[in-house]
Amino acid sequence: MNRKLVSMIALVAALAATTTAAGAATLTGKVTVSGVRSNANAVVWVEGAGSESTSGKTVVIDQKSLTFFPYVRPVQVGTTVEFLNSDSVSHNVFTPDKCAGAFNLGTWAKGQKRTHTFDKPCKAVILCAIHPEMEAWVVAVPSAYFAVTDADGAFEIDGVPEGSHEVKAWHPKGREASREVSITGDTEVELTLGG
Amino acid sequence: MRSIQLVRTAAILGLLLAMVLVTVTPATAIPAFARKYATSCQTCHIAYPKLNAYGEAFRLLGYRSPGETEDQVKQPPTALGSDAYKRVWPNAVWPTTIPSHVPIAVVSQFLVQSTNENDDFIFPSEVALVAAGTSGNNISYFGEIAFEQEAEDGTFDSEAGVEHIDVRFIRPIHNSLAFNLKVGAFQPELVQGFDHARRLTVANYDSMFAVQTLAVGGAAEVGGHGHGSAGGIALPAVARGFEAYGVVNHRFQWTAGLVNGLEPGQDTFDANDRKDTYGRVSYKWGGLAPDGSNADTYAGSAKNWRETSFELGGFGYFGDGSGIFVPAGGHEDEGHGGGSADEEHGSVMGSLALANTDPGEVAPAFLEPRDSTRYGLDFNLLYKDLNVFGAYLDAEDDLRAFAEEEGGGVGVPLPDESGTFSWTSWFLEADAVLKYPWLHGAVRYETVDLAAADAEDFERAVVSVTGLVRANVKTTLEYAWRLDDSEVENDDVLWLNLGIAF
Repeated sequence: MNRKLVSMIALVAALAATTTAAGAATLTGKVTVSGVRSNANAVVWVEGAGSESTSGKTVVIDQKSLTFFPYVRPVQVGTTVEFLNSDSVSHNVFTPDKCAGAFNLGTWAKGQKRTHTFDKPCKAVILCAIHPEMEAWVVAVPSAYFAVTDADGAFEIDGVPEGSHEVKAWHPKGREASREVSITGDTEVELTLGG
Repeated sequence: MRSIQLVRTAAILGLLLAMVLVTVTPATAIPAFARKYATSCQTCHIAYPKLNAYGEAFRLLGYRSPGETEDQVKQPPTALGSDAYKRVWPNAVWPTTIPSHVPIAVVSQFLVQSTNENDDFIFPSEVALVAAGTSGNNISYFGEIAFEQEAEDGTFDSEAGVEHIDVRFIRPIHNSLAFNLKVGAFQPELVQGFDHARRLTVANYDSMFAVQTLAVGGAAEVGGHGHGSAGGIALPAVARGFEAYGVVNHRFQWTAGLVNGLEPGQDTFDANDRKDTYGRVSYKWGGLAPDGSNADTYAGSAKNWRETSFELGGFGYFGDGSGIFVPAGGHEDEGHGGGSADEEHGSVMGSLALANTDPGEVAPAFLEPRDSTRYGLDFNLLYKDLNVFGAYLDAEDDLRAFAEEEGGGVGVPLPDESGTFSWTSWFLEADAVLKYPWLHGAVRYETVDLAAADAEDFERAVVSVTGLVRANVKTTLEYAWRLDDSEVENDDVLWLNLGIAF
């Protein structure tokens, strides 16, 4: 009896897993940005595929060696970003972009952090008033499905609900593109920005 | 008028003097750009320093490629502030960039010069440090420090100094190339059609830059007699001041300049409180637009020196030498003082004045070049492997003569010795790529007519062959000979030049 029960439970679990996998897909592809040195750091996201709760969700942008890490941080709208100073000098964080409230978090020393919640879709440049060459981007998108391209422009987004969705891409040099893509199973897409 | 005869004779001597002095070969090849873009000199040059159409557009755009994109620049610049700071201004300093590598290049020439009297190895004839580049999208700069040596009648003369240094504000208004501003000591756009610094030959365009109806004493150090501005009234090979210029509707170019004229003064950089002005307009038909705006659609030729185009320009230069009294001194044993101890310049006039003054008459001791005007036309024709270009100049100098007062200063005016001196000059040159892209020929005829109604007083022909050993190494064999009845020795010259830029 117990063996039968265990077998039934295992079968049900397997069926459930299969059912879940059947509704989600992996979107891969390549982004080509014209006129720039590298295809890296483009943000790709899928709109209309639903979102997740961002309550309590936090990601980190660090400041080290007079540089923001990472250079581009995509987040779902509603996510809180922690700006950590791991450098041996003070840093400041502000943005002139109104979609992010044109915030200025002030200046703080090593080991400290300040936070800001991006509650609207926005491509916000992050600057340091003390070190003008420092630059980063927070790209707040209305989607839980996003990725950043590598040096070759390649990206991968897992768990995307199947269906017809709008795939968008953006690069810090201001290039943008979007395409309607039918996502079923493993789907590949190529996007060209600018040119 | 005798004074006109004196001036005419002096002008001839001044021209001959300048002809020897201005044969220093130009140095405006800029290998720093080869490094910046990781490209060969041949991208912009037919045979350095002569530019092709793309190189001309690159220069006019403030040393930027037409439609330049980030990936074309192989040496990423150093940012002086994130580009996003443009949105923070005026609450922050406007951001810009500087080259990540110091944009300096070395250009050197080695000249073998053979005349009737001497065979000289002028090694080097020039060593120059050339720097040029961009700062952000709207500022550019160019500078050159050079050491030059020249040979004249078996003696060497050398000088070193800053030849050019200028800052350019490119597209400062609404990002339009219609208006740009250049400040400093620069090669003026006035002479863009025959810029001495971008010529193929050793011989300069003496008919344009070396006609000296008047020479200022002590002017040898500034302006550089190696660049045609031998201290006197000539078209400026190097101008000091401000120049506005632009391209309208892609093909119409204009220039206006406000510059020091005769220079220097006793204690000032400009010998008087007046400035010279100039202007030029031109239009180009065919080929690559001067602003490179059709670079992405213009098919051009795989042989990047080729295009079919014609450009016509008109220019005017207006000099004001009021208050400048060129001394006639240099003959102290004859009781003539004067400010000039430099026989190459001021005392040419004085020598002739003394030699031609009848006993009892007051010789002109000073000349005031009150007004100098030059009007000219230039053209540039490109067809297949051939480039034919030239210029015509019509000039007039209003010269006022003065006696010397007791004590050596400027005395009373001598109206009978004053007058207006007119002259014309022109040149025609044909350059050609001789079958191979590394082999170039040039033939030039030029003449100066110091009195329009008389026979021509200066005629010269130049034949030149340049071979590019490498894109940055060239040799030139050139012969320049006088066609007029010149009585000056060493007036025919054979040059063998070796140049390298790195």
